[in-house]
Amino acid sequence: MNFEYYLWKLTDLIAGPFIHTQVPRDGWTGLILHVIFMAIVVVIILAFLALDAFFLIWLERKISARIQNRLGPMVSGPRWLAKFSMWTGGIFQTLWDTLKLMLKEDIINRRADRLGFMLAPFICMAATFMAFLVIPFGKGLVAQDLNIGVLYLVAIGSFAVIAILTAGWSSGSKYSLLGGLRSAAQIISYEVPMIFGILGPVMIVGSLSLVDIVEAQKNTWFFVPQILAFLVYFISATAEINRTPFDLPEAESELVAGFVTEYTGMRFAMFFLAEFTNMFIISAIAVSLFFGGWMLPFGLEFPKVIQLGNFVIPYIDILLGAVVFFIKAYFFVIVLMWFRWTYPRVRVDHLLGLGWKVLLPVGFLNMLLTGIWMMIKPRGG
Amino acid sequence: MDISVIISKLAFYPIAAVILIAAILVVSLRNVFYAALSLILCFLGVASLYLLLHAEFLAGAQVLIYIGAISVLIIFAIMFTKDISHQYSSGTLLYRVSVGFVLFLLFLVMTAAYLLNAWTHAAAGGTGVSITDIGKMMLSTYLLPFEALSVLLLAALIGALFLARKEER
Repeated sequence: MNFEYYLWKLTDLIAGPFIHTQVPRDGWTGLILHVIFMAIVVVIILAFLALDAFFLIWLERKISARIQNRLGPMVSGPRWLAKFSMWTGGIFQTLWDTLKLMLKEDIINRRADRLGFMLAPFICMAATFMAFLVIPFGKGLVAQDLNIGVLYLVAIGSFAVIAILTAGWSSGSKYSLLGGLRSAAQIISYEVPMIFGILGPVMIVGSLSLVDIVEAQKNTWFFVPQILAFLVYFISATAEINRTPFDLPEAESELVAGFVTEYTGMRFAMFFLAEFTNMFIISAIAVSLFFGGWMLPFGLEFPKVIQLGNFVIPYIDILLGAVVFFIKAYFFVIVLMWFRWTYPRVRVDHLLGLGWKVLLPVGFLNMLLTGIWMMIKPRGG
Repeated sequence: MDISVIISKLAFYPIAAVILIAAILVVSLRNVFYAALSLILCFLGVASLYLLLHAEFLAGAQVLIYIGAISVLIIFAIMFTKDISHQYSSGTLLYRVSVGFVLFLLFLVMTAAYLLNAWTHAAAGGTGVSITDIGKMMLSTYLLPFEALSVLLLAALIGALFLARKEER
């Protein structure tokens, strides 16, 4: 089951009374409808991506304002709203931020390599967007349940590295070049422990598909037996998306803004959008791998239908499942923001030391323990 | 003809064209950075061909290893080399001839491999080889090459460490 399945159901529901038969799944009709449905799914995901980034930027501004006493995001917008409660003040902050970004002049440095400079933000954005293909938002709410799901997610990450390197190289500036190199080096080093973190749940389930992994957590969420794997994954993933305390690639005091130094306006906004979307993606992966995805804890389940007098509302469990998923995912997004505004930046040698000397051995240890556990309990619990 | 066959044929030719054009660009472009980007495009095309054959795991591994690791390494080397994009020299005549000779031998080997093997066509539904099958094969039939490869990688790792240490002194 995936998004398309529900679109087929909807088509049958609408067209059924007119053609008195099921809408054909095969042949040219099926093919054309399939293409249209995939296009609809893409549009839904794109719309979600834009709205989500919009919301997350606002959330980040609010949280930073609460933690560090920043004034703007607390009050911008109607004054009476700011007086009403802490969350309604500053409601226009993202709107002003976005307007500013859109109105800025698009500058291309004279020393820049034009093609690479223009291409990099698009590669970055596309890589981020592609990850949404396999993320299960709810039972059956997945664009495509690939059987290599987790491997696909890791592989897509390499495009982000290419985008960052292209941006750094083609900006024609020392800060961008060094920032790009640092960023890529960091992403590559932390990819290894991150994969070991991901491998824990994959070993238990014996499948790379995210849907299978979520469904295997019906009774126990994997963060209980795989707490080490979760910690390794979450720390490495924070480093993967260059967030504080691992935001050395854009250490303001040394590198201005790293690989985005020369970017302005919408091109800069695309990197920004990708960063915020990546935050949601790694939280969504953490939820799917370790916190039971769309499921409630202890094997509890939502009712399949709700009876309201004569009306029967179907698919209510799927809807509530998606809500649960988003609550969990945004919880981890907030944790990431909390990290950012409270921790100082780590030093570059500490960063590499943590990755290779702490996280990687812990990842190995977890893999060993998981293997032993699976030998003792061969049914895969 | 079945629709899925038509679709895979329709998809095959553009992908093959992209692979060929990208491969030609890799060796003909003067700008080394663009050559590296074309190489990435070429690898991506090969990964798409694997997807067409329903070899998803191979496609994922191709992207992860060849784009995520090897191409990134090449780009790193380019970025660390000063003014590399302005050096258009491609070596002496002897160098060119020897490289050409080696490539010609490689071409002969690959042609021989192509002609001497009896190739079977994969069914439209794909090869039906799952990740489990690949894993089992690696740890049974192909255990020796698999282990030999890890020794080779270890040797490369130690060699790299040795070279890096030598420069430090």
